[in-house]
Amino acid sequence: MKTVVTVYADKPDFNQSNALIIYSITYLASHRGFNTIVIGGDHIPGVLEKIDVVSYVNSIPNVIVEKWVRATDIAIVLSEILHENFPRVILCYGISCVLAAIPIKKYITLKVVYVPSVNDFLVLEGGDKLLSETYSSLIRYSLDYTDLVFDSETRIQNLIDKKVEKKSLFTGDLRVLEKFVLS
Amino acid sequence: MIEMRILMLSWEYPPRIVGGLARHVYWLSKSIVEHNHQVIVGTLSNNSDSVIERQGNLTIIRINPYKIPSPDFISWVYQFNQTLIEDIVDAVGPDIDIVHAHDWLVARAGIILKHLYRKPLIATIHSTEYGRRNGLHNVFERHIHEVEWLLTYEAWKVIVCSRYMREEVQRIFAIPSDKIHVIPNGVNPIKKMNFNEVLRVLEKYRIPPNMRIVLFVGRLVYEKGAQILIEAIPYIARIVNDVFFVIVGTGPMREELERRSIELGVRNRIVFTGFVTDQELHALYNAAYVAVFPSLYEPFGIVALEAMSIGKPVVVSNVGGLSEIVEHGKNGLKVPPGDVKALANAIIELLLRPEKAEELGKKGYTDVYRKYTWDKIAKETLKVYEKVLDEYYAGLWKPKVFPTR
Repeated sequence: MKTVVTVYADKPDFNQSNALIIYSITYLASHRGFNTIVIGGDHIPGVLEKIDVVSYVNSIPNVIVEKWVRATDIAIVLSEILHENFPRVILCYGISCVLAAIPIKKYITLKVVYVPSVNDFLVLEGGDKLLSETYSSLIRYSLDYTDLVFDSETRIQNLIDKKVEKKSLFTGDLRVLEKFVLS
Repeated sequence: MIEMRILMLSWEYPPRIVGGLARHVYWLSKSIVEHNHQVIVGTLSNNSDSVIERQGNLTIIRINPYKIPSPDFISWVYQFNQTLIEDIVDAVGPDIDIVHAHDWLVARAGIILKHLYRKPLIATIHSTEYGRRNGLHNVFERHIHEVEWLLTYEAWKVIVCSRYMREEVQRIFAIPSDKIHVIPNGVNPIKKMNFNEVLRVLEKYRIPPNMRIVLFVGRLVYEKGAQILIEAIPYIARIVNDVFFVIVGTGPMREELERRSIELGVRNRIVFTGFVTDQELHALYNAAYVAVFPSLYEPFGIVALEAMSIGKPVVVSNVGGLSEIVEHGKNGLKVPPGDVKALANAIIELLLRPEKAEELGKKGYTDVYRKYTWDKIAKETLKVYEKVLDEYYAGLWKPKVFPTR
């Protein structure tokens, strides 16, 4: 059975459209007969339990660079899924999920979809210049390993304030995302 | 014995040398290769290029992690690990038997490659944040401590260099004792040098050649205890006249140590060399009458073995790995850590009794070549690998997916 994996690095705020959209796609995939797996931190609401399989990432305590540590945890869970479920699509909510997915992407052929999270935007737009610059670089770097970005190119480009190399396909169209994941 | 392919991960590797780790990984890898195994070292590049070097069965992958800016050191470490993982996946792939990670700086790469390839992970813990800092005092230290814990948790076996470190690691990370193996560090023997070569180095550092030299080698930080030796000098100088003290190493305590030696009126009996080259270090060991290591925290104590490898008597504090290397009165003298008078008395004893000093030096020399050669250390490490692989092959945890890229 084909497996779709959805990874939430940050708390998925379902009032935020991107979080809700990939939840919906995952939900749809499970009803279309895909094996669906959702990975997330300990903030994932109960609603996700409706989906067939839910994995939880247990972050180690005393985290001061949560993004990186969470990426480590997610990478461990993704590796487990790699060997047990053979994923064909990984939907990444937040940049740390993309970072975690890169080794998997280098290992087997699969599609990586980057869906910017609320936190990604907050950091990029926030006052911490160095952190914002780090995020811009991380996103630019990660775009080399993503097949689709679910957000408009203009929005991403505006945010990271540098030229985005078009190695990924950008879309804000739900039908394109749906087709990409479920085909 | 089957040929193994070992992926060794370390943030430093010659020519990039920060501490003792680089030399450890270098000699261990080299010695394992001599036993007909393959070793791939994943490490940090010394410059801006990522390069792959091949030397027979030894491959060194030096990576350049600076693809993205880092807001702090911890973030840099994670970025380095991210790049290390990616470069290893690209250059090596899953065709390895063992992943061997050295210390927390490569923990993330070791753990993720373990899970990605489903290959056993072995960790060597050279020292702990808890031990280095004498406790955990802030969020950064706690973070490093947690990463160290995660590495030991994820590792199939944990290697430490002394029984002291075994106790420390077992206690602070709460890991089962049968998961920990004690394998000492190996020593690279100090070369015997001719008199003229030694004399040149003594002249360079203005060390009087007609005096007997008490040598200290180590970073000038609190836990290495140079301050205790400085305090002991007035007592020694009162009894023995032809004695001179050479302090080799750099560190944040240097100014304080120099100031204290002036206050004690012994500044004219000491030279602080700062950083010295390997060649100069060998010359200073050759010139030494006795080598002194008054550490307050010492996971192993390689410097004592270096002194012993050229037949010099040693005086060490009865702490950590030093306590295990030295048998009091047989191959050296031990004094209670931090005890100035005991240290002074032990040094005086050796200065006044040259025959005793010679006897201890000879025994120390024999012990080094019996217990601490890199070949012996490599054999013990290979035994751990073989045991782990036996368990691995007997189990169910194996890769089910193989690269398609």
